[in-house]
Amino acid sequence: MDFSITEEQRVFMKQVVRFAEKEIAPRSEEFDLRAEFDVASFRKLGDYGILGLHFPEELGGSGADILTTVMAGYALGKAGVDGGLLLSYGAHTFLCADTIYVHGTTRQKQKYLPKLASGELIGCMGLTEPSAGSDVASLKTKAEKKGNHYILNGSKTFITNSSVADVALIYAKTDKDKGRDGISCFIVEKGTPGFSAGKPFNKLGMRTSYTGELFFDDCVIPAENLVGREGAGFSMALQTVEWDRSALLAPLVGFMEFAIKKSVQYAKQRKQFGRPIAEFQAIKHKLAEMKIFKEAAENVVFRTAWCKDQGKSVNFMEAAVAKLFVGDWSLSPTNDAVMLHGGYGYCHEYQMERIFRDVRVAPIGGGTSDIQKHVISRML
Amino acid sequence: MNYAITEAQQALRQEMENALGASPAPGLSISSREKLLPSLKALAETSYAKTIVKEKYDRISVMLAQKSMAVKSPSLALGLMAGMTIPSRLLAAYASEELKKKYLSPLLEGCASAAVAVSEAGMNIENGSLTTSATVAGEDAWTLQGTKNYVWNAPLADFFLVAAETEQGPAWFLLERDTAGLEIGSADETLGFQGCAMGSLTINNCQVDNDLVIGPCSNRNSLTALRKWQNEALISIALGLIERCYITALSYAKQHKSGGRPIISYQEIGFKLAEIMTLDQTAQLLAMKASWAQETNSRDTDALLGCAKVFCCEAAEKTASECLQIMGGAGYVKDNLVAESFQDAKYLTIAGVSSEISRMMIADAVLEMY
Repeated sequence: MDFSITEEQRVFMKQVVRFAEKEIAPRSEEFDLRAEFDVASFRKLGDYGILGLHFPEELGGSGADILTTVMAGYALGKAGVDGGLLLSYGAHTFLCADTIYVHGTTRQKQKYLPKLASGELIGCMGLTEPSAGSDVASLKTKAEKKGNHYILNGSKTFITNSSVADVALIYAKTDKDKGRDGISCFIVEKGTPGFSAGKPFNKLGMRTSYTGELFFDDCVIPAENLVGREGAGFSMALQTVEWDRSALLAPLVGFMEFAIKKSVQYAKQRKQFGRPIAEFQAIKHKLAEMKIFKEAAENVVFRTAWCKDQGKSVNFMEAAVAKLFVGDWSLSPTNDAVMLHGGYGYCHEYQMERIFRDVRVAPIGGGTSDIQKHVISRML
Repeated sequence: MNYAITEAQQALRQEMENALGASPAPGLSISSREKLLPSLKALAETSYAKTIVKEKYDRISVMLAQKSMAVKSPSLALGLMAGMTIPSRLLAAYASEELKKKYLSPLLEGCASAAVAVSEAGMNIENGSLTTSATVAGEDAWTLQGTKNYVWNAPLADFFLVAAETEQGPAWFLLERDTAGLEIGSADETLGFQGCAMGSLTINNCQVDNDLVIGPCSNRNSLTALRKWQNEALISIALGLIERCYITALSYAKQHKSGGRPIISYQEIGFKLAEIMTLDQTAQLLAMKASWAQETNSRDTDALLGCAKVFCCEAAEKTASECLQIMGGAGYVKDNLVAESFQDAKYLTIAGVSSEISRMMIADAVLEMY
């Protein structure tokens, strides 16, 4: 074991923090209040190279390893960028673009990846359905092959980037009798007749990221839009959700560092009973709780990324541990950050309120904590 | 970064397991000299002893090796670390060459054990000064007066490293067991760690020659270093305790049947084990990172060790409790490994730097960062 990070990684994280503090984070408050996707910031992430960091240069990326890629997410969170934008980035880069990168044909990669990496195109991934969440095998959206086409019928829900996505990666049954082995994955472009998106849901947190439904009504797509082979969708989806359980968690760890910084600054200047509240043990206790969580969580998240870098494409146990830990253990220190700020913590402009709402999705999205426990307990 | 345990890091643990045995042993006791000495001897034959007194060494190897002692028995680990590891480190870091030759060598060879006597009933190291005092008695000697409590290995130690306050600050005085005026109390009855011996010392006008004194130190460096060594020891015991409870409860949950199927197949049990496993892995990584950081110059080093102390020791307490719950009546009966660990675990959050003081120290570090 060796926990040292390279000088390059250290400098890179610092640069990302500086860039995001200056260019992106100042817009978070306004967009969160309006519950609006900040497309300009999203494109800036693309310009900065973050959206395609781990793709090779010829496909518009920077060829970074996965650990460094995950560190970027951490740095964005640390800079105070809102969770919604980072969720959009996560779904776009890891759930959509990465699947095309890993499983797509050369033509598919060349067609989509450079534009996804730059942010010119926005991606989403559609797996969940109204009656099929973690029970993926039960999904009902079907894709029937007719000649050189597939015809898609069905609907998806809880899809991040639903209404803004130009490229949707859709999982559908090509053989309804085969359960999980009957699932295949397709690229569906915005504007394809029969493909539409519903109005975004009104969510508790992650409000700058659109989440909603996708509808397929005799939606005809070319057969060449199949990603991977027919019936291989389930294992692709599993690989994809692992990103949910590593890269998408990194910003949440970064938020805690951001919350610590804000809380320290507040506790030092806020005076009660003639002294800064930073001198009260009850306040210090909360700061310690936040720090302990952040240190513990960072390791489990980075470890999952490191495992991926070792060439293991699936790391169920490591990913589930990271997801369960961040999901369940993040809520209490986030609550501490709000409480430390008292009434101000409950108000929008002090940002703890937003982080509190954003973090609440951690034990829900990408497989609930119960699902992680299910995954882990079956492997014991 | 590398999250895999390297072969070199594995090696010391392997040596330790070969020397002391690997599988968890409930009820193991080293609370008498006859029982303690063979374990000390076995430990001395590994490269552990040589490693821990080096100025620089791979902390992760040592953490893993100490953890393996605690998997076998937390009492064994605490007894050996209190009787050998910690006094050895103190001597190696601060004592004169003559003292090292006379007292450190037998410790490293497994022929003697020692005890580090700091705690007093009415003080704690962070907030108070010691009431045990040392006053100059002539040109070459000191007179010591005071009482030390909760000293691990005191009932068995061949010599003691006693912390006492001088006019110039705290110093360490080496007292042999038969020093005139030194009374060693009988072993305390404790809730946990019943396999090793804790006791008190009454120091009545003990005369100590100058050449048996380490210090006085104008700063509290050696006390701070001691607290770190204690914390590292307790963290490794916490990791071992978590593992022995977890593997015991897991195997029980796979074998024990209810309603015709193993209880692990029920979500109430399986999910509990999943949570314990998550705590276990998270605690391990945090502990390894904190011990790794001790060899770096990062400004976060102390806070990180504090985080690991609080997290791992509280995780051990929770794990022991949940594993006992999983085992039901089978875990509650006397002489059971999980019941024993449940009793041991409480001590981990109290000892070294307590969870409360650790949290305040972590917060102080955090407040300095921004």
